[in-house]
Amino acid sequence: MRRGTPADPVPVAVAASDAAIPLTRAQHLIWTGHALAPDAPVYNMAWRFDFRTSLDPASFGQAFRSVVQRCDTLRTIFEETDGVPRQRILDGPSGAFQVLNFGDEDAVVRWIAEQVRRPFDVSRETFRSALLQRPDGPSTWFLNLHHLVTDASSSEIIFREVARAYEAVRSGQDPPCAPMPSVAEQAKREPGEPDPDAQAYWERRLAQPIALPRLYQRPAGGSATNAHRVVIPLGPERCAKLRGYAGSDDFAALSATQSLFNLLATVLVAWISRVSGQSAPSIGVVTHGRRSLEARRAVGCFVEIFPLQAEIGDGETFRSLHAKVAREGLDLLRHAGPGASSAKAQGRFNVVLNYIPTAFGGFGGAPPDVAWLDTGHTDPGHALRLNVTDFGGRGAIELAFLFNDSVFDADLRARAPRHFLRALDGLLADPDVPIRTLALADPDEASTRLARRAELVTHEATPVDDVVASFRRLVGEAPDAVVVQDCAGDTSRAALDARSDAFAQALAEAGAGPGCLVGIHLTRVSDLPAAMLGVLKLGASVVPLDPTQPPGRLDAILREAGLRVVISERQLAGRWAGGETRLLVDDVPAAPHEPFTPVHGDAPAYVMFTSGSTGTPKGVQVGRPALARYARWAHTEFAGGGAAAWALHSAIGFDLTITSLFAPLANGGSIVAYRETLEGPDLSVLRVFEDDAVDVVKLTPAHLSLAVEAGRPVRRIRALVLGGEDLPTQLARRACETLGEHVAIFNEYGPTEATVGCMIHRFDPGADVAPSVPIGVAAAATCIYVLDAGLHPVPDDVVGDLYVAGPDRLAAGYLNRAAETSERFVPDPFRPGSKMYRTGDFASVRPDGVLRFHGRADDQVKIGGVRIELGEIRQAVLAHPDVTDCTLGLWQRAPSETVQCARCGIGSDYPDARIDHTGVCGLCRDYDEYRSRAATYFRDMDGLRRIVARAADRKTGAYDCVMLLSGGKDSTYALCQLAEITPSVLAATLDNGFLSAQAKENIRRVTESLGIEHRFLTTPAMNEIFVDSLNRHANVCNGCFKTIYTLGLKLARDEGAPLIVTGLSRGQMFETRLAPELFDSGKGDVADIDAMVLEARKTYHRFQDVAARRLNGTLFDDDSIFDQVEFVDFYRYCDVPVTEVYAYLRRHVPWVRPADTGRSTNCLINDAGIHVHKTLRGYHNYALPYSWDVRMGHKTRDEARAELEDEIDETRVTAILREIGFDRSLDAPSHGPRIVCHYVAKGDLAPDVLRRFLGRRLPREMTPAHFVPVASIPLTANGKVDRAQLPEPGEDVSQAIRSVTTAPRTSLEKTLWDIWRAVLRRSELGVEDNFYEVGGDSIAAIQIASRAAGAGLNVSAVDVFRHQTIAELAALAGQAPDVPERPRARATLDARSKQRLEELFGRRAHD
Amino acid sequence: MLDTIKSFIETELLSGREIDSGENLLLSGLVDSLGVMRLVAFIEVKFGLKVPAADIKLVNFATLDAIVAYVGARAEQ
Repeated sequence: MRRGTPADPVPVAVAASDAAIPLTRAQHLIWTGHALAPDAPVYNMAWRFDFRTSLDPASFGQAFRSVVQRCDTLRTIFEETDGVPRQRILDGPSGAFQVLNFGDEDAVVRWIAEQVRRPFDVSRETFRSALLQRPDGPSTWFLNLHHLVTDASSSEIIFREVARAYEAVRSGQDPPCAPMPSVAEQAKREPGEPDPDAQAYWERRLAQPIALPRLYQRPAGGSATNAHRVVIPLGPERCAKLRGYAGSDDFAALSATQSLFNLLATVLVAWISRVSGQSAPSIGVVTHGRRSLEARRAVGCFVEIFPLQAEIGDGETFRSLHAKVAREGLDLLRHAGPGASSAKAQGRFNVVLNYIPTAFGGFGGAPPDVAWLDTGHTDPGHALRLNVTDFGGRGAIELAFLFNDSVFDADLRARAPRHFLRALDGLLADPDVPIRTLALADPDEASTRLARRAELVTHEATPVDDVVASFRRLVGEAPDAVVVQDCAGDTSRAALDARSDAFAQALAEAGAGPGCLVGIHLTRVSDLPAAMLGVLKLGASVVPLDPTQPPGRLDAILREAGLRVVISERQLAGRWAGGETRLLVDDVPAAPHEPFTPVHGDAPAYVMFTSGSTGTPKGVQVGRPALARYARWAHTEFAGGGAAAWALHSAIGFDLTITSLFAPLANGGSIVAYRETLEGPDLSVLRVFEDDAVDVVKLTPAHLSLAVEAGRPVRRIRALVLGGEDLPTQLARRACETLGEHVAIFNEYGPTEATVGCMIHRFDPGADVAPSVPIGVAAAATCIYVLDAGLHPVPDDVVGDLYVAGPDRLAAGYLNRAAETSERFVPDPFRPGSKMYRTGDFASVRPDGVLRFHGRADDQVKIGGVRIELGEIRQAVLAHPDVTDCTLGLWQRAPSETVQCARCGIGSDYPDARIDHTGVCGLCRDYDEYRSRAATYFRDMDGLRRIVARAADRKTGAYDCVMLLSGGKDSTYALCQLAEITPSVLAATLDNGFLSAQAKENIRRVTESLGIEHRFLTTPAMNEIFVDSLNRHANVCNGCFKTIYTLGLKLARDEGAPLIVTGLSRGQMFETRLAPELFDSGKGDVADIDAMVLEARKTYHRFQDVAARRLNGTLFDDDSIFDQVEFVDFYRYCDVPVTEVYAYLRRHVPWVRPADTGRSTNCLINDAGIHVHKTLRGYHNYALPYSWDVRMGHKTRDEARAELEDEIDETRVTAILREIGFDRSLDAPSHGPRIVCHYVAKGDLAPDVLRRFLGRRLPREMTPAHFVPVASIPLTANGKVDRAQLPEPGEDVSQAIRSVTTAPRTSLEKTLWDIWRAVLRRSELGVEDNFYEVGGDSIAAIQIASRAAGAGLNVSAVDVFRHQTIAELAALAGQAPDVPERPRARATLDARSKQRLEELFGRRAHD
Repeated sequence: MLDTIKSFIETELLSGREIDSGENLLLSGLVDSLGVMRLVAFIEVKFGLKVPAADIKLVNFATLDAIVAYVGARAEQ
């Protein structure tokens, strides 16, 4: 490339006038985005115009410069003053124009590629323009503008004006010289405030909660700006059709542009909904924002983006969705006044539709080829931007998909546009087809391949021998081999064979025969397998009846099944009162009187009763070939085909247990039976892991949690088969760690209707990183489909309905329920003539063919692995005579369910938030009340000067004081001020190994410019201290702070400085020490407070945590150090607004806000602490500090919320945690979904009464965890229960029910109370509260027991179930004499203040 | 009414350009969807009536005459 002539120099920023113009709202949003990623060319708007001929460079240059002179937008730069950006118009251009000569096209391409991505320093330049000349070839104009000064229309205006000026110059005339309207002029004319109507509209819209769609299960937003553009020309045929629709009566809008926009927005919304599962997606639509004819002629940035949301119902068609989109679009335009777009509105979409109607005309006689160049970057918040263009204005529409790389990988970037086009073609083919039935997937996608292989699977499947035949063959092979072990001893195959013959014969004598249903109501003893085999030998069907279920439910099953004969045992007599013939195992002989010949028959092997939606359990009839096929596959898959021992420990009424019975019986393994206790929860699984005497354990994730919680390494157990419910990856990982790496963990998926298990995935700790372990791939001879509502395979990574099919795979349907059977067992479109089972589960297929599970589609839920129909529970609740109405649902404590204080933004997930009905938190209310009294605590700068002067007298070394400098704005400002009081300051900063480079650089520059000595403090124990802090406080800041204080004290002592000055902010002082109680009337004596703070400080340093052990030495052996060195907090003496802090720093020192960390922090480990705290404690550890920043006016509520909602990069955090040696797994305790029952009752029906009533009718897992009395059940307009209006269970509700919360009365109760609160994650808890009422479950019981043991109390998990209140448990554990706590003396603080004081210095290491 | 609407269109939407009562505002591109919605908001406030979404179409808003006719009919309802 040679530089041609003429070229403008890069302009010098000379102001045309001093008038700085504020930014428009649209510019503000761009400015913010630019400030977040200043080095990424996200906002470069670069054009390439390829002319047909060679242009005259001199004329072009003259033309271009004339336009710059007429257009002040091209002479505008942007500067930040006091944190406020302003635009300033210069005399000269705010960018360069060059003429460049190139030898060949490659050089042009290379030069442009480099130029496109060059970021702008908008305080110096906002555009670059170059005419690219080729020898004897056509010219190209490259024009790159920062989005702050342009949009697509503006670019076209510049193009048009340059063309006009060029033609004038070429024809020997002067180019036009009249000034062009500019955005700056427009900005001045726009009203400052949006009109009230628009404001109300947006407030209403933005108040609705929204979840951003996760396209193809990817993250909703990007994490970086890198992006790829995929351009798809629609082609003449589609364009013509589209125009046809746009012009038709049904789809025409006010203008052709609006019509096309509506159609494409409809397709986009439909596509998003289909590939994300979101039923009411919101997209960002770009509006041109030019409100008048003059504005439409102005150059500048006018575009604004507004959210447009439309709901897609089950039967929604393109036509009906189009009507909604068109209406929403008009509504949006009506309220799209100036200033209406807000940062909050920008957070309501992650997909943007930019329909650009701009067309470029001729230049020098002919229109050039126009390209809007790809910068390779996008707004990090946008997963996708879809730009729709027709720059030539010839009706050739192009779609440009700008895919954010952190959301879309290369594979998806190829697939997604094809899915979009199928949706578009769907609309063009027939707008009345339901959107949910459109086939979108490519033929080569994994889900399509699954469907295609169905026939092959069927063709290749071979039948498996019946389980009875297999067992008899095994008896013949090795009659003495042990097949069952239980507490009574070992049973050989031959003995089991004989005993099962005896059962068959006794049953026949009792009147049962082939085709009969025979109930088996037995505990888990050796007779259980014998009885089951006996029933099968008779040609009858087993109906397993769980002996621990309450009589009411047992009766319901007996009635539904119409059982006549039930095998039971003497100790279970009296558990039901039915009139069936009972065959007691004691009455059955060890062997039959005469040999029994088995009958095969077609009867189902078993009928398993599951929860039914109508209120009565329904029976799933599983055939013998299906059982045989499953048992063989399970044996091969989990026992590796060898003679393994299987643990029989789970409930027999649950089809999970089928595996541990029949896989060994039919395939040469053995069963180790663990008999249940009939009272209390069945914790047999714990014994299985204690004994470690089997090879394979089939269990639910809930079981595994119990085992891991109580766990220790196992030696023999080598395979765990997880079934029943979703398996969290964290749990699988923890199981590997606890039990041993040799243990294989299989995640088995399967509904009862598809015979126990039909899919399998072996957990791979290295590869399985999604929150749930995948459900894997199909079992042998099994077909798995993931389909849309039209029964087409869904695209890979998209959630669809999961179907199961295959020869000898499915149950024969539901007992006596033909209608329900035909509803769920439907024709298989891929295997004509066969059925498939609609599981009601959601799943997605990964491109490698592995399936992931995504929950249930219907009212059915799974708790602890057990399938539950909420309808059945509802019927049971309604059976109570006082209950008039009720509704059942699932409730899970989740961040999205929190509300935020209207004033400070603290979330209701913060344990002490106490948000009241006006939406204000207890902290804000308290503060209102005591802030004026608390003011007595603060002093003025003269006070500080006196303290420093005193220190100067006392010092024994060179320094008056040590200043603890974090390097943040607050401590830096404090240092500057302190330096004015005395130059003898030694600044000290803890280098914890994670201090950002820019923060260090700041500290170095600032101390140097102030002429202040500075030291970095370090300790080799830092990582150990972090780990200890994470374990104790679930954060890193406490450890960091204690280190700073300890090392700071040492430094002061060693240097002979009698004073330490901290940069603790006023918010931090309120947060950690100025509790309202201190200022109760009669208190508030500042000397008292100071004395207490000093006492707390001494206790704090004496407390033996890792920081103390590793750092203290002899420093705190006595309290003399506190006589030698005094602490003062700078901001106790100085009250300064945050704006002044920034302004001061900008004026006086070379301090810049670090850009290499998160937001308000200097420290790169901060996120790790936040992540651990959020996971373990359920809320953000900065929730409280930031709320104080807001109260102090140092942050706005929105800023605080935005920071609290920042996403944490888990990969980076995990790496940091590993680096410092924090290896604890991060499973939050007891956070699974719970059943909640809202009920309306006559009179006062207490939740406890209702709970006891249900306890007699429902199994424990079906009993709701929460009962909430309500006056009525709120309904939506459609007459459905409006769950959003129901009060949440939890602290407020339980408080409303319990008028009195009894506080712990003894130290023992207090110990248990602390443990309960920690395990159950509740701040409010009374000692009379029932364990279940407050959300307890088995895992919580085990956690309580283990923590109680840690506190020296002898309390077992079973004790927790039996003694269900803290008071009762304390009475049980209270063997030792108990000392009641002394009543509180005036000088002692209550628990809350005390805790605050103990954490006095610990909350945060940033400022 | 005609003068009020005409004046709004000319000053607020068209930066002072004058229009004829029969001039097609939409097809000519003088007024676009954003402008129509500004006009709708103005009409609703000025004449105290509600313009349903279904009425926002070409036939009611193409010309000043059409707008005046529509508003007149609407006001009588």
